[in-house]
Amino acid sequence: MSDHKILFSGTTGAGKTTAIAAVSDIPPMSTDVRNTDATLAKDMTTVGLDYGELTLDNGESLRLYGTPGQQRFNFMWTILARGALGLIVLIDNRRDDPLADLDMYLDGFKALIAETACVVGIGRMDTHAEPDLAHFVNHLASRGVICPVLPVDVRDRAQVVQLLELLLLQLEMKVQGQEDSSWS
Amino acid sequence: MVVNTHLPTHLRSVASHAADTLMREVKGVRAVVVSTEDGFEVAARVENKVQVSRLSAMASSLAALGALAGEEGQLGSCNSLVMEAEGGFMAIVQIRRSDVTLIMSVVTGPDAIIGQVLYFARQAAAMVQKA
Repeated sequence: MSDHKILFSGTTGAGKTTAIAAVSDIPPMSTDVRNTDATLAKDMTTVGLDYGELTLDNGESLRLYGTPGQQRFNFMWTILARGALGLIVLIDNRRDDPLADLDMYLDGFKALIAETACVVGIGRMDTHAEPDLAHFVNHLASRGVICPVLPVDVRDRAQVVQLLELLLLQLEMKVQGQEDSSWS
Repeated sequence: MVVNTHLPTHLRSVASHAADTLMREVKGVRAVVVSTEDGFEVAARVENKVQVSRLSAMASSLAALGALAGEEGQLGSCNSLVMEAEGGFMAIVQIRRSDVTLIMSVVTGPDAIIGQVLYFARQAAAMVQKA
C-alpha cells in the first residue's frame, strides 16, 4: 500500500496539533512549549513539528506532519515541505484578517502548492462567519489557486479525515489531468 | 511586537551578563544568544553576522526536537545539543527556571575547544537559572 507524507500548516491557534492528534493512530509527537508571545491567547505553541500516522480505510498510509504557524519559524516550513505530497492549510476565522493569514501560507508554500495539492480548512466559522467560504474561494482564485475550502472543527476526527480524503482526491485528479494531457 | 512581558525584569540583565562573560572568557566564541523556549530573544552578544531573531527561532526548534528525540530514545530530558559544522560549533543549552525556560545558544569558530565551550556555557546557564 502507498505511503504519503501530508503537511498541516496554518495560523497559530487554528488547531494543527489538535487535528493531527484527532486522527493519529499512534500517540502524536509534538514539540509544544510554553508561549511567551503576549499577542497570542494560548498557553502552548509548536516550535518544531507535530507528527502522527493514519491508515485510511482504503489502506493508504499517511504520515502527518504539522508545522509551527508563526512566520519566524518558516525555516521549518521549508524543511517539512520536502517530500510532502500535499498541504492542508488551517485558518482561524477569529483572527483580524484571515485572508491575509491565508496569503502568508500561500506565499510560504507556493512551490509545494504548485507541484502537489492543497485543501483549506476554516475553523470557528460557527462563531465567526466572515469572511465566508465564497470570500476564501474567490481570494484563492485571485491568487491562481483552485482548491477545496470547507469549514472544519479539528477536534472532530471525521472532519479532519474528510480534509485528508479531499486532499488525496485533489492529488488523484491532478495526476489524472497530467496523464490525460500527456496523451493529447 | 510586545512579547515576553512576564519575564522578570532583572532576567535580561543577568542573561546579558552571562553572554558577556562567555564572549570574553571563552576562546573562539562568536555569538551568544539567550532566548525564550518559543524563540524570542532575551539577550544577545554577537561578533559575526548572525541574525539573532533567526537564530533564536532555530534554537527553539532544535531544542524542542532534541527534547522529543530524548523522550523517544528514553534518555530523559535534553540538557544540551552540540552541532559540529565545517566552520565551527554551535552548542544549545537549556536553562530551566521555575518561572520560564530559556535557551542559550553559543556559536563558535573552528578554533574553539568544544569541551571548554560546553563547560562555560553550562556555568553561564546556571547563573541565569539561579537569578
